[in-house]
Amino acid sequence: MSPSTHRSDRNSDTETSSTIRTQRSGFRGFSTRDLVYVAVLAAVWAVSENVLGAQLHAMNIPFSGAFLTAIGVFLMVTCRSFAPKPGSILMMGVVVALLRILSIGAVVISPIIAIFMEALLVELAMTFGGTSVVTSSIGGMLAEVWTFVHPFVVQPLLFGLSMLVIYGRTISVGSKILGIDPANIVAMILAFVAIHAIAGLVAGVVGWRFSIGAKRVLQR
Amino acid sequence: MEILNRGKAGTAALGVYGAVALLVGALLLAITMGGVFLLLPLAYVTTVCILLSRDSFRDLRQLTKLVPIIVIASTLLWQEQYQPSGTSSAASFPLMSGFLVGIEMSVRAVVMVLAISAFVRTVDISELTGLLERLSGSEAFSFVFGLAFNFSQRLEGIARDTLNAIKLRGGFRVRNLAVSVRYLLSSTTLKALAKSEDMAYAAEARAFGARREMPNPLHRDYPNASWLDVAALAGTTGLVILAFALRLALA
Repeated sequence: MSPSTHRSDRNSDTETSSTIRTQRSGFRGFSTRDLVYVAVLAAVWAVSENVLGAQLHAMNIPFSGAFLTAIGVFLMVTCRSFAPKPGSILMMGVVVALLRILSIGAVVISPIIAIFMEALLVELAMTFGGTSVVTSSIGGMLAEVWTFVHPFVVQPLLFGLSMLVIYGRTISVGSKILGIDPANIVAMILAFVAIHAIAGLVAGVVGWRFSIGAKRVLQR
Repeated sequence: MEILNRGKAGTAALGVYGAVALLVGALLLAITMGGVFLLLPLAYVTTVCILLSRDSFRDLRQLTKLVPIIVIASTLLWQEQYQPSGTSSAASFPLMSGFLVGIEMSVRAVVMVLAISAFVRTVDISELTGLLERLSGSEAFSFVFGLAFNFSQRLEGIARDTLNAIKLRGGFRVRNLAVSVRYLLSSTTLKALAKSEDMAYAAEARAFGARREMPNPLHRDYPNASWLDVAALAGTTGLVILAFALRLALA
């Protein structure tokens, strides 16, 4: 075999291996490891919804939905830190929503929409703002505020826009019965939104700090 | 893979194209139609559910609390000035207009729940992930979904054991809830992340992601639309056209 043949063989080997590498990173820029991190953290989120959701429900904890969302934010921020590619959080959200459909047997529309929207909001915040502690806390805030807004968006979608008229009438009649100024009701709603936003901010920061700590532990 | 077929006992083999057509058509009609015309999508989704997915009726349980509240609230709170023009004379009775609006809202919700439930129960999850794969142009989604699905069952066992261990040590009381959740979540997540490394190596060792320009013996052929899918698409399109034509004619 001539040296030129050897060289051409080596060239073709190099070509093949580079093709493999290109195809590998052709999953929209995701490496196999990134995809595994997304899958594993999606599984953790789905399991936490089932296990911890049941436990919190049994304990009759108020705002348990906000609590579960905070855990979701924590996991989404961890996911973006381990797989820092645009689309990783959205993929995680879609997988969790599908897992939820399969795990509970019944098709409960509201939580599925909530999971998807939370993932979308955190994804948007971290795609346009970059992967940092600030954007993870902003994403967390948006996702938590969504849990408060969620019923007011989903119910008009489900029942029609007449629902908005009923909300308005409920506020005005309720304020008359309770003797409260309707402006105070708006202030109360804003206070609830602020509480949710603070919870989301904390969850985002905790998720970011956990991911840094977890990377350090896993590198040992 | 038995769990993937959970709740599909009373379902027929409708492909993903037919299921998407049913869902889009029913949701479009539910959103755009009002009053008596809402009976069209209601009859449509009821027929589809009877023929293809009887289990979907069980999902109406999620509306059992909400529908009475909506009907009562709209009956009591609705006012005459909100009544759209062209309604029946029955709506002129006190409280009747609110009651009718409540019924209309409830019918719309029933249509939407039945349509989404029929879609999820009829469509095969592997076909749905295949559709997402084709739309996104990568195999990533089905890999992630399959891995998450298989891993979640094992992880649930680990999480339940950890939860019970924490509870036995006095955890998960109201006073120490935050600390208990922190222990549960950090240990479970860290264990799962540590396992990820092994999974990634195992996937790469099985040549996941590596593809050469040669015919792949494991290449999956996605099924084409069946006659049932074509019938669903044609039926849905026909019904949507009929509903809009009727509404225009009677307006």
